[in-house]
Amino acid sequence: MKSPDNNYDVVFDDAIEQYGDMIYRICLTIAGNAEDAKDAFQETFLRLVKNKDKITCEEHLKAWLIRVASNCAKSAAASTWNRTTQGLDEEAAGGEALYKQEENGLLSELQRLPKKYSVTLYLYYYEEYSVREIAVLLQKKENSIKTLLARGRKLLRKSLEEGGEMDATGR
Amino acid sequence: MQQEDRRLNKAFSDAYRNVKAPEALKKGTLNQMLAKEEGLKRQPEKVQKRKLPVWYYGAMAAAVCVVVFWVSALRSDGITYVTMIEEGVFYEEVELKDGWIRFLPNRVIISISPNAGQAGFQGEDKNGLPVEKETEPEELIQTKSGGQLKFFKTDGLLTPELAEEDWSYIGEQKIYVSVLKTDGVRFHAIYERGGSAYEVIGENVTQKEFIDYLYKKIK
Repeated sequence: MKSPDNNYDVVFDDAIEQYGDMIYRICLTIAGNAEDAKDAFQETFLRLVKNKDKITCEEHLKAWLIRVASNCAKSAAASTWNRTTQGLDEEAAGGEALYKQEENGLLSELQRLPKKYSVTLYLYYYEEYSVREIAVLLQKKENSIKTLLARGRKLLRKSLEEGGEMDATGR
Repeated sequence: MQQEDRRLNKAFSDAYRNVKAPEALKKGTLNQMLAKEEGLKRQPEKVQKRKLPVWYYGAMAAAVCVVVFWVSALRSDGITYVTMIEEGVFYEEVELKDGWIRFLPNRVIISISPNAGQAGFQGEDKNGLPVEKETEPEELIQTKSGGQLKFFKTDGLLTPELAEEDWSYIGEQKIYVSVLKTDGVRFHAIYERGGSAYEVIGENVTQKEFIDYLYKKIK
């Protein structure tokens, strides 16, 4: 139910257009494969339909989508049912370039990390959220986020060095 | 650290640059969202349509309450009484035309002989001496279930001294009732009336048969 002082209207196609790619990247980072990522993507936006009246502003919408996408992607990744079902046909997806692990060293290594590190690193380094903002988004303490970032960095560095990918990704 | 951060910023930027949500996924999701929103808008209409059945169910529930109340009222009058002589074994619903009956809860005590077929109560006379009771019943009835109902009358026999809560009643008649399960099922009741003691024994009969017979004798 929309509160009386909530004048923000969520426009679905605008939301998808503006945040769709980010949400998809989060889902992919957490889920680890395109099919689960797509399921999580759909689930996230379908939940928005029911909760749109609770969204109070643009920033709230973005934060809400990130949080819900994280949860949906975790659920999708954990679901063995999803792993055994067939996803959308690649052709039906409009010939879009789907993610392939072997083509992207950093993503490949990120997906080997525990989810809690990969999504934190993604939000920090790609979306450029601050530690405090990530803490709010993921509903954790700031110190926890700092720890996750430090450990995640260390694990990623080690992983990339072992895989010889660091040079290819900016070193 | 700042240098590493910059490197990682660039690395992430490069890695995710071409990772985008497929257009088909976006379109498909938008269509589903619109359809879902449409469905949610229609929900109030559905609720409106369901109003009639809800009232109907309400009326049905009220009717059920009336029936339950009526049955309870009947029970309080003693027309229907549920006994639980031995839980899970001898449970049966017993209907009485009027009056009421209360049984001991699963009590197997001295008044019952383990030898089914024989009189079970070893009575005492007024001087505390054992009384040999008549072994032949005044009445012997074969029941539909294949069991036997026996009715004894014994002059001089006293009912046992029992605490009030151990007595059962049919109407105002104080009666001692118990049940024993040996090879078969043996119900036993004893009561005093007019200076005489009466015994009713049911062997391998149903609880209903026993209670109906007992009720008939006492009434």
